[in-house]
Amino acid sequence: MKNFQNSKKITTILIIILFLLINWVSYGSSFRFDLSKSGRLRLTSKTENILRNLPEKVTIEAFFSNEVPASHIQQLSYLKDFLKEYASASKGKIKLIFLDPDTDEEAKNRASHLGIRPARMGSIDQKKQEISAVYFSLALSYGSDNQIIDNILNVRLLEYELTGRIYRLAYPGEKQVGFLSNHGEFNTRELMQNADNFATVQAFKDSIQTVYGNLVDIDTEKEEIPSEVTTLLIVGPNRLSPIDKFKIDQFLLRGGNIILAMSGMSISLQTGQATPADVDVLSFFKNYGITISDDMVYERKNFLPFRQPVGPFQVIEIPYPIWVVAEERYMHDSSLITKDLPSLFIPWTSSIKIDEKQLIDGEDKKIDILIRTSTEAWTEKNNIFIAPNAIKESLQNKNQTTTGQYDLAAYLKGRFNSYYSSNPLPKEAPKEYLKASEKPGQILVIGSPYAIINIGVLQSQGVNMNFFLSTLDIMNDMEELVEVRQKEISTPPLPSMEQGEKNLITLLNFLLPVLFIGALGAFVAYRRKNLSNIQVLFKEDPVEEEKKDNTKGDK
Amino acid sequence: MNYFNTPIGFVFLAIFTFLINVIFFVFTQFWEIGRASLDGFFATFRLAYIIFIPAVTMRLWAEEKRSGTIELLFTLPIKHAEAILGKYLSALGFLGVALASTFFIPLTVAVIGEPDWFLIIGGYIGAFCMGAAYISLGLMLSWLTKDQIVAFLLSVLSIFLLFLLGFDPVLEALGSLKTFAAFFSVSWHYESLARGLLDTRDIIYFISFSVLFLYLNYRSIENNR
Repeated sequence: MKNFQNSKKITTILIIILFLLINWVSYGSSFRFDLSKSGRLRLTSKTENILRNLPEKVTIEAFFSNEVPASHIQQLSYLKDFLKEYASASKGKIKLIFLDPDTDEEAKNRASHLGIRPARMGSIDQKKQEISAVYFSLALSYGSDNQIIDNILNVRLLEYELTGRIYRLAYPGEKQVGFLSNHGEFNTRELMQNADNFATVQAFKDSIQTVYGNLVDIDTEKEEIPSEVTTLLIVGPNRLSPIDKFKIDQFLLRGGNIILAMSGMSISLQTGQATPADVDVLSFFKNYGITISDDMVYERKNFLPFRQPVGPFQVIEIPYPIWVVAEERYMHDSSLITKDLPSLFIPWTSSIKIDEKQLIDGEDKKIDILIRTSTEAWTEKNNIFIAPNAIKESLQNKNQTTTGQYDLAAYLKGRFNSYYSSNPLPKEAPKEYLKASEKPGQILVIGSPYAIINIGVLQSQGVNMNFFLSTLDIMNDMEELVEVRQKEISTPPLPSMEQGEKNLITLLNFLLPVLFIGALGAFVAYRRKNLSNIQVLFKEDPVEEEKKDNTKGDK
Repeated sequence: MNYFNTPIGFVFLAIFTFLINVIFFVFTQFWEIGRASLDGFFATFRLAYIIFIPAVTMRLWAEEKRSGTIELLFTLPIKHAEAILGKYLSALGFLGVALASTFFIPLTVAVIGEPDWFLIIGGYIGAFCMGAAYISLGLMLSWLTKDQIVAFLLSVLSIFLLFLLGFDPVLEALGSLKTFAAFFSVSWHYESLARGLLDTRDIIYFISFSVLFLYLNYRSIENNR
């Protein structure tokens, strides 16, 4: 036994084994704490509340392959941790089961029964010498209802996705979102056909589907707005027939919600020109207190530059003041829609004006100007050439411009008078109709259709999408989900800067620390030199030395 | 304090800061991404440490052995473990100063944008833990040779191998061992801390890693004396 204890080799081997063991054991059970201010990696209190108050238990079956490509090992570990934390936060309301269909035949059959297929990973499986196909899906069961989240690696906001789907399973309601189509606006079908826009619109549709089911295309000229549709998206229509107006008017007066993303200027990317939009469409919304001006907003500083490739590896940035970036400080600070929103990208936007007198006075009445420009903005009217170089030239020729602050987005809630209380009814309209709101309706208005789709969504890294989804949640009494989503908003963008400023900052970062270290080194060297001089002086003091010697001698 | 007795400590600091700036501003495309995020900044430490930590640790034992001061050191009334700990802590102090010298970058981002300071604190904790683990390794390797250059190269090679363990193609080549290897890679644990997630697994890993190599260092000294 003594020999054993003294054996250094064995002790060393035992220490190494202990190292491996401690880490392996810690892998099984751990405690995590998210340091971030936004809490991007911890569950929100809203999610916890929703889960703990579920009327019945939810079962989450996680179909995860244990053998995944190296690039996804960490992600798999993160997902497992997240789901364990999610289940634990529910205080017993969620039953979590991990299944590996690759090794468990029963799990494979269950996955197949639920319609879950392995996802292709794009990396080569070393054993089989083929593209890896692994399971990364979730099945949620609540009573007899099921929801599948396929290939969750593609899910951007996992907490929102899961909570949203569980919420929908637990509280099924007939709330759908409609998309006004066939009026020259951006409708989902047209966008889906355009390869450039596909991903963007699909992501937007997927997010809506998580909570609201399918996004329904509605042509109000031919059909009624279904009663299940609680919110209508109106994105840049260039004409509205009398019957369209009537149906939209009555929808709002019945307590419907409208998200209106529309510009007072018509943009043509083919001709590179912006021209004033149809006055008739714009004047219709004036009845509800909304004026979308026939102008284009320019920002002196808060804009996204236009990046133009000039070679295979070089991109130049052209100042493009009509791609407005709304900063956090110019947003409504207490509205849930804009709370914690770091910025919003609003390209080619018109200014808006809200006339609160158009809403019927009452307790329900609420008007929030959500987004404003900085004080250094200005507007231009009539024909505008929007090509980046044309904008650059017009800026150079413009020496003096009067700047000011303009409203870009607003939220209205309340009761409205019908458009037909002062306008003739269309022929096709029924004689019986609502002359004023029977329930409060809600409108979100933003001065650019491009903020909702395509470039606005692409360039904003999900922030724009969150803005619209939060609006949908608030309009449909699902405020709980807003906080869940908003915490996952990406980091705020840097303000727009000239290339010269960037170069200067980079240079200062290179020079200042090195100079500081150099100065510190010189100071230390100087002090050391002084100290050694003092020591030499002390050593050379013969009187002191003699005294010391005498003292020693006496002792 | 020994690091600052000669100009070499300041030279290392200046080179380290310069290296971090080059990687951050040139390779992580900070300006092109246009976000007040320091994820790229904390990723630079993984690369910079491959050179910096060996430079810090190469002299710790090797120079003592070459100049013969090791004999003098061990005649002092201190235990071997205390000597190891002393050197380790002085290197950690120097690492702390080196990390502080990179603070200009978060400060710059804070002036022009609004970064999350808690994430920055988490990132620095991660960078310090990773550096501490590498220093314990470098310290042990420095004992194995009298030559500083050999100690430096051994450390560079070892840290580079550990760095590669967090690299997907390398992990893929390890076949069924990849999950095991990935978990024991320094990068895996650092990434989690750099994202602002304090996880007991990462803390346990870095502490046990440092303790293991400090113990191996102790064992090597005991064997040689």
